[in-house]
Amino acid sequence: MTSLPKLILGTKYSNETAPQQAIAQRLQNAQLSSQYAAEALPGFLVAIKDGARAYALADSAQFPTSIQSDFGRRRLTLARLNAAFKLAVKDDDLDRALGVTMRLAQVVAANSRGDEFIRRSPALAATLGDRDAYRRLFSDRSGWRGARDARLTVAHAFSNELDEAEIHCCRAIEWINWNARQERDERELPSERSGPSHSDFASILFLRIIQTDFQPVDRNLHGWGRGLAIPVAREAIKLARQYECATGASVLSELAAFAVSTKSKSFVLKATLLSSKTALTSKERKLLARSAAAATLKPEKLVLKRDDAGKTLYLRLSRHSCMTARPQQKRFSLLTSRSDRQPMTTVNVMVHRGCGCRFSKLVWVRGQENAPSRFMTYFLKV
Amino acid sequence: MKITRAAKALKTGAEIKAFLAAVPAVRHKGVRNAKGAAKLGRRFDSRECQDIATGIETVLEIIEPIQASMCARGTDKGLNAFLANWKPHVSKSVPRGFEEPHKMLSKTVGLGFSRLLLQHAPAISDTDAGAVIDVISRPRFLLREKANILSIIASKASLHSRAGAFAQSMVDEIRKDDQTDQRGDDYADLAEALLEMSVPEARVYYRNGLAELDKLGGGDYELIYAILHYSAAQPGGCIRPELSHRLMNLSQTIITHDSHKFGWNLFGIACSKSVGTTAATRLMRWNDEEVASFSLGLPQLASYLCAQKLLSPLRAAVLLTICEDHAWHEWSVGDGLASILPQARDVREQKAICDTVFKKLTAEHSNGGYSTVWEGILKVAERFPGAISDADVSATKQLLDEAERKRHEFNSRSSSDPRSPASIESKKEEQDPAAFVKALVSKCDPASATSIDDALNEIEDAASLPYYVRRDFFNEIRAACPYGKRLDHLLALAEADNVSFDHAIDHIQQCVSEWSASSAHIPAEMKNVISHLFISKGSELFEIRYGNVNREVKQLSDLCGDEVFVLKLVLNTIATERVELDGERWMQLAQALSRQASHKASRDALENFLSGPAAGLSDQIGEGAYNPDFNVPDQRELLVGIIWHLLGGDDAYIKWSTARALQVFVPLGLVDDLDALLAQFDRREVPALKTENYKLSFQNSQQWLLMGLARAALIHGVKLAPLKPRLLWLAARDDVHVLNKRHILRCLRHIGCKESEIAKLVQEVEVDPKGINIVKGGFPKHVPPRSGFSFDYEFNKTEISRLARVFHISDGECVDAIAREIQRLWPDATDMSAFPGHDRYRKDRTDRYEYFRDHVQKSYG
Repeated sequence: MTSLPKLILGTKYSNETAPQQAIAQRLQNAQLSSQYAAEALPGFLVAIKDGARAYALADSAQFPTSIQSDFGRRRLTLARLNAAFKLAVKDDDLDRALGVTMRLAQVVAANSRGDEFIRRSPALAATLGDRDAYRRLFSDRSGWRGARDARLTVAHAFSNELDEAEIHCCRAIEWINWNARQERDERELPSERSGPSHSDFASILFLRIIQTDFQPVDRNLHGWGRGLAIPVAREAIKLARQYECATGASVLSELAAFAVSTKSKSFVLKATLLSSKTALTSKERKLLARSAAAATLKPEKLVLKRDDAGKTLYLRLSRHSCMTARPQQKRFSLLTSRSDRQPMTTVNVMVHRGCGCRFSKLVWVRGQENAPSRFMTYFLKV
Repeated sequence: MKITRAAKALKTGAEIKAFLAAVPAVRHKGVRNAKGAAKLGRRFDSRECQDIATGIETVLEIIEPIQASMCARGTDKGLNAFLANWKPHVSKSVPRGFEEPHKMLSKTVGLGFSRLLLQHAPAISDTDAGAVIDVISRPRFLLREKANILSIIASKASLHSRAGAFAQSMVDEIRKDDQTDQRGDDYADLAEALLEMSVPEARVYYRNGLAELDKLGGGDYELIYAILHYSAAQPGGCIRPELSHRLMNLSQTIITHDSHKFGWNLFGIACSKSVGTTAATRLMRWNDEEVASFSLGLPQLASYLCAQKLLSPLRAAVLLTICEDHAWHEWSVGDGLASILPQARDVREQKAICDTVFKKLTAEHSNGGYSTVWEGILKVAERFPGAISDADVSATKQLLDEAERKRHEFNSRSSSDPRSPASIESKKEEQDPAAFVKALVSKCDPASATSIDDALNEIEDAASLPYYVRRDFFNEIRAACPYGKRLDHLLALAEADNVSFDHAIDHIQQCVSEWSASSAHIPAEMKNVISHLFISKGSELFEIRYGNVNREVKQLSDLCGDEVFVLKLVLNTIATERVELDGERWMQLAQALSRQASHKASRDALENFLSGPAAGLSDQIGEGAYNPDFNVPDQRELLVGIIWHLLGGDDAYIKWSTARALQVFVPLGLVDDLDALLAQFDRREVPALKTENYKLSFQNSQQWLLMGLARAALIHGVKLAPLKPRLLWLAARDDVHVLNKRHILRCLRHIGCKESEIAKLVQEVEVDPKGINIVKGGFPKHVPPRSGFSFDYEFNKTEISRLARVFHISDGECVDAIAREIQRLWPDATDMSAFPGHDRYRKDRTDRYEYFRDHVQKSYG
């Protein structure tokens, strides 16, 4: 916004006060009706070093009528205060700089909380927030590297910009797979680890649901461990329901029809559709319930390992139990022989993604459809 | 546990209990069932069996209608009957202590089944929805659970009005939360739930949530501490009382969570600079509201108020003596004395203050105390010669030695042996660090930033070097730096990429302190070095972890001796490099600016902040907005108000210690204040210290005041003569209880009186007006009470019957007599329900705590 005034000043009006003041006055007059004028004015005042006008503007409560929300007004206030601060520093006016600094402290703190609020649910921000909230989502780059794309996938989908949503979805998938391939530092603290959260996985599944592309949804939920699949499915179906409410479209009926068909293998998908808040009819629910009852869970499997002394050990683990969104500690049964029914002892096992380990690669290789080279590898470390 | 066929056959609670009691404990690994081995115990104890059985019965009772309707396969899913069963099991308030397991279970099970029924039942009537909302609106349920139910109700078209009204009632609850972030989350939950019903309706709640976020709340600890730091630093003086009240309300959000960890020292400085004596009344009210004990913050506040000349040193000393010593890590009583003593008029006054405080400390720490307490006292003795007597100094030294010995003994119990294999010293270094550093320094050019960076990279890459190599490198290179390259070395330190901003300051500081004696040009060139530092890495100043802009500004100002110069560099860095600061950093910057800005601007900035929307929420925290009664401008009135309030407190220890402290008024020369204390004998409450749920037991204040005075008179005798006229006046009054008169008599005798002056009082106290009548055997005739008063169970059982026996009257007559006394003092009271509080369980005469209701019952004396 500030580049245009700077260009004008630099070329022609840099030393002429009267035209500068005239432009400033016009921008000021147009503030109520033009958002552009309101946003350009603080930067322009810094460029022409008009402290008096900038200080008055910082105290002003006039905002464009197009900015309805407090959040949008706060953003503009922040720009005005920043301009006043720069000019106060330039004028060596410490008293004024102090006053502005205190106000900046207040506005910045409120703004950061606003960002957190919007980030909490991109779906609600796109549906219920105003243009500022939507714009803020774009500029928000917080979280791990794929978080922004996952958020924008949802936001675009709710704004009915499915092409844009697809672009961000593909990027989010890339980031998730990239993250899975990263080497992990053993000494890294849990609080310092970053990676995809359940909502990031859910944003991708949600887009597939509204695109009525149910196969990847089913395949992934079927393949993941229950610890990951259940919260992700719950979140994705919640988003789909919000989408139905916001747009009036119907997507979950079709998903339910797919889930009861023979194509669907995921028990988690059926069960989550049943337990979630949806507008499914009782007939659809009954079909889902029958289908879920018929679905069987994958059996546990024994994994043969040798300990440091060369003794053979058997780890009994279900394929689901070693799938997690984040590294976490789990308990596994340690058996003395393949035929043992009673576990000898239980061991605490750290399930990592992509870290070096004393045991060899364990159970899980999952390929994304049509992209066999990209896969997530899970390791088990005792 | 497996649900076996036997378990399924159980019918009654007793059977379940018996079944559970017979279940054996799980055999632990490695325990063999060999002969002679101890028999396995039971898996559940009797309490657990009872809880499980009750839980099962409760759940069965709640879901019985659902089971019946499922068996009948009808359209009515039994929601009505289910709610009727469930409702009595849900408590109407949030349980404060232990909650019975079956109650928690009934809440969870009921909530789950309500959701299921609402979601899947074919038709939910408006009445049914109303009934569910009625139960779920109870405070026992979380807002998130309410929002969950709301979203199901909102999804039914016929219940939209009901859902809208429920959402509005939830807003009132959301506003009670002082955590801004939580408010935002709750609004988001609400909006999410209402999305099922109407997008415009949901939008209103979502935007309200966003609007709430510009307010400071309970979650903003860093920012609130930053405001306190600013208030402590700003030189503009006290701010408007309603705004200072907001500042204290904001602090309350932190204090509430853990009052012992709160920064009371900072609070004391901030209040002495920006709030004034009103803060003392707030501390007392926090004490009554059970937010924090008054003695956690009052000593610091009193000393800093004294340092700011807002409180006399003698009164500050009194406040120090009535507070418990909490051994704060950042402040000690010695620090308090160091703030108070400079304000004393002469050495004699200083000595009186020190004597008083020292006696209090030795009495309080009769078993030794902490070494910090005695160190503080010794520092005071050193700084203020003559203030503490030689005998006290040598006693303090002994106490310090003893405290140190105990501390070492305690620490040695948990310290490991340095020769153990796990200790760091025993590990062998793979490289010789000294040789490594020497080689590094020999090839490093101290005047080149690149060369220093390379050397630091080498240290980083080298494996198995101890942590202090980096420090040694800087020490060595400083020692090896040629005279002519000293300034260049400082510039190189400022420029080097691998030396962070704060480390660069530290190293430059060390160089300057070492070289300034031999190089006059180094201190003279400091401004250039600092400018160079800001040009090279100015924005790093705001990226220092756990850093504080103020600290770095102070360090740099000390180096160049010009704070304005440093401040301008900092401001220019922010303005030109577009550094993005968070709220806390801006506040720290404001604190640094306040030292150079005008006093008025500093105060105005704080006032504007606290009167702006950010602090708006603070008027809803704790006791709410400011009340002019909170302000007590007169120091004497403040002190006597506090003492009077403490003498009527709930805690017998505080009453006792305050009454004992009354004698210190005399050596401190505050006899007039004692007189003022006596003058308010009929005061029933102190408006500045009044809180919503606490009433002052003023009869206790009267009694404990006179007891304390009697002790003071015993110690100081005739020095209390100025109190004599008022004591005689009280003795002559008819409405003063004979017990109080007994204490007055003791006071007067100790002070010294002619027999004629107290003859009537002696007669009244020592001679029973109706004589003593010994009744042999028999019980008095039963007379039922007529007053309508009935007292608490324990009081009735012990006190009333004991009193009735003394006077050989019936319990009913005794009740009526006490009721008459109560009605004399509280004419509006018709029964005990006129007084707050409730019946206490197991209250006896020796109980440490006595609440207002107990005190009313004891009106007979």
